[in-house]
Amino acid sequence: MRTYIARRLLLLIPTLLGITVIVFFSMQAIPGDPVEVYLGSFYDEVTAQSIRAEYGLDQPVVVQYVRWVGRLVQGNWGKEVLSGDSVLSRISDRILVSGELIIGAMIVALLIAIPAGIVSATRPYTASDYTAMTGAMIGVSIPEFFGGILLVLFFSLLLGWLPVQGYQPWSAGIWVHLSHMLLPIFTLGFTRAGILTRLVRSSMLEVISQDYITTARAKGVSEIFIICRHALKNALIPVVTVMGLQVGFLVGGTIVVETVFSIPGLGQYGISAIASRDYPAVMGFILISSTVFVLTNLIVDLTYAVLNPRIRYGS
Amino acid sequence: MKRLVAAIACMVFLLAFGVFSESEAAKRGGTLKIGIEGNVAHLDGTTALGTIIKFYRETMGAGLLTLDENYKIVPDLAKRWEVSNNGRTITFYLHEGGTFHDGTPLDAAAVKWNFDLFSGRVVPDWLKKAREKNPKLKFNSSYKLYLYQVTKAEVVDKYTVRIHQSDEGKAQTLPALAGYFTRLVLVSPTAYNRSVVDFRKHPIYAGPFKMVDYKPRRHVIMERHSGYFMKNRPYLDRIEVYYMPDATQRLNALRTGQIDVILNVPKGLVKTLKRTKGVDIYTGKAGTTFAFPVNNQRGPWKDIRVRRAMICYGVNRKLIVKTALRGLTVPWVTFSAPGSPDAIDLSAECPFDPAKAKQLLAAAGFGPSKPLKFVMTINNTDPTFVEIAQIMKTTYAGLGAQMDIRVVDRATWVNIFVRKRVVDMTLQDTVPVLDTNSNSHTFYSKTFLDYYMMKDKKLDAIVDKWRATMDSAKRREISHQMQRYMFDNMYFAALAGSPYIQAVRSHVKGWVFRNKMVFDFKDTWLDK
Repeated sequence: MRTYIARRLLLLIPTLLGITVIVFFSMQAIPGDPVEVYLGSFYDEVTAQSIRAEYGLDQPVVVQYVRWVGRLVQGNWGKEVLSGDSVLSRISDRILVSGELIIGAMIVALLIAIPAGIVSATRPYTASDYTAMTGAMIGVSIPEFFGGILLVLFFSLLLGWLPVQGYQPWSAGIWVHLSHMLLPIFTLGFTRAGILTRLVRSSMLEVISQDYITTARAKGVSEIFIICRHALKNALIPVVTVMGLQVGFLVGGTIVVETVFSIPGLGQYGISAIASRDYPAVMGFILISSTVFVLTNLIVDLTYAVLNPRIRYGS
Repeated sequence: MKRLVAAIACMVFLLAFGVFSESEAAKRGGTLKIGIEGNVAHLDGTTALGTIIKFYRETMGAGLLTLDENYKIVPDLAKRWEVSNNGRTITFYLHEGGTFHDGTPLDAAAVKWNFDLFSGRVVPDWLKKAREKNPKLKFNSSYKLYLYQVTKAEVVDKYTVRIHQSDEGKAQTLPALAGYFTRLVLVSPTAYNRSVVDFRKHPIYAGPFKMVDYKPRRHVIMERHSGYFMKNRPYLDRIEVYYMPDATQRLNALRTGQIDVILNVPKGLVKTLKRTKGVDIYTGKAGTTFAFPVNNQRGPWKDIRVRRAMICYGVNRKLIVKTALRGLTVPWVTFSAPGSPDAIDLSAECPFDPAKAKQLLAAAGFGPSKPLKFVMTINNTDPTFVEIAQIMKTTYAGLGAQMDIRVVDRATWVNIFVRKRVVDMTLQDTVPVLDTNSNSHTFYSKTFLDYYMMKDKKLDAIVDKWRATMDSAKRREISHQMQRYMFDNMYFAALAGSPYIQAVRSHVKGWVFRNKMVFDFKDTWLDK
């Protein structure tokens, strides 16, 4: 198991290098650079050159990339061109916000998907099944930006329960903080809930038709115990795989939701960095997003072993 | 009878000046929350252009002069001024006792330092250090665009400052100080000298509000400045500006009362906001123009027949105003916007006439066998651009011209339109036009920002004449001449007025609409 984890972690390095190479060189191909954005209309070559030299942007692209990697190895993520602030400190401020959003959305998705999927699978072709599946279909079909607007219309404009947008830290008060995070979390969570509900249902249907479940029933084990103890655990294996992928997609989903709800998270940071061509900031964003994606998939793979003892990793 | 008349007169007097004024008396305190769509690279208003930076600069800053709601030049820090020596000297008498946000005195010496800074007569300490490494480094100030004529500033006494100027450009000093896009806002010499890096994150001005917190792409929080030179202003304790890039969220936040003001309402949302209770809409005759500029020096656009066909007769302005611009403005063809005091309306001379346009294109050598092909490059900051571009594409197709639409982000657009100037045609919401001269940097070939690429010495001479003429009536005539000349040569492709619309909660009082010319919240107060 340890060898497997070590191997996967080592594989992380070429994966991230590959991603950063593609992003770094693609960014250079887009017209405009951070110095132009910084100087705006008052662009003059002398000042621009001086700023470019300060940030090493006057060097060939390959040299810039190698230097960036060199600094990264030493723990230096570089400085934003526009503000001069450390990219790492900016990202650490924002990753907690996005992390909360992603974890919250996954919790919401699971809280909806697992019960709905179980009910749907254990009572197929009944009203409960049709209701759950219709809800799941709606969740899958509605894009995040539109779902967010619908939630705002209902909970903010109609009922006036929750704020429309914005972010307040925990220090502003637990309810104040949560009231600002609930709508974005639910917006992200509903879509995922739709996908996962359908998956839990199909997976459960397959498991509960297997012989060992019939045997358990014949032995007189209670239905709840059969479902929760025997069926669910096995049915969750494909769900966990998709959950891992969904966490990755959630990192992307935060870009839309954070923009719609003005949440100062990683997604908003990334999109602003790209718009202003702030290369160090873009690279920081890409690096952290890819690492989260890759690590989540590693955790998913490791979870298989916990869920199914027959799965073994190693030599 | 006399007693009755006296009693009625007394009651009228009381109602008019007593009861009424009491109910409308400005209240002190409170926080004004504003939703804003744009982010800025930094907050140093001395070197940046743009509506958003202008908003921050003027909300926190004080200038010598400002504009009232009728665009008349009125006092700001200068309580009065005298023009002498045939316009070559202007003496400003300043309000006394004010300070910058860092507590340093706001006096004649500080004003002189500011004039010296942007004209290069004084070099800030940070630049001196930077020049040790790179002696060629320059200080580029946006103020220099329209105040280059100030040759000397002198301190007459602690609160009197005098500027001397050259003849060329002397007429633009007062309007430029009061309401041009580059309206001068004074910076603290101490703070600016110390570090420009710090100043960009935490600017030190002298206006009614000082910055207390700036989180890029998130918010700017300002608080009342106790050292403001007008002792009974501002009324508000605090202004909080939230970066809200999504238009629908700004709208919803205003409707639920989470914010009090949307500074720039997208045209598509005006109808919804008009139906919202408790929200007032402020707008006026457009101070800016919706334009579809072409590069006058590029390919077929060099030919006036092509320009006349495509800019004048080939565009259905009425249709665009009715559909994409929601009927909120009027078709327009001249350089100064419909709301500019010196604008002339020549729209009648450019009716939509496809036959005439085709004829002109044919004369220029374009027809079915050789269609005019070009690219309309637009940026993705305003959904209206896409709507307009699609209408124009259809209309131009009817003329046999082939227009492709290319949508790019703002950084790319600035790079290829403003800097490299490799764009055939684009769509642009221009900067506010107080007078025709106020936006002339876009075509006056002696500046480095003449991205409309008119490159016409005769036009430059008209600009020079305007800038040297002190008589305002004569200047107005020259403005008309300038607009007529650009129109006759089809240099500038105006489409319509661009309405600037602000939405404000009804409890916000003392709100004065001045288009994008001036942003000023010192008289704003909250009735809640």
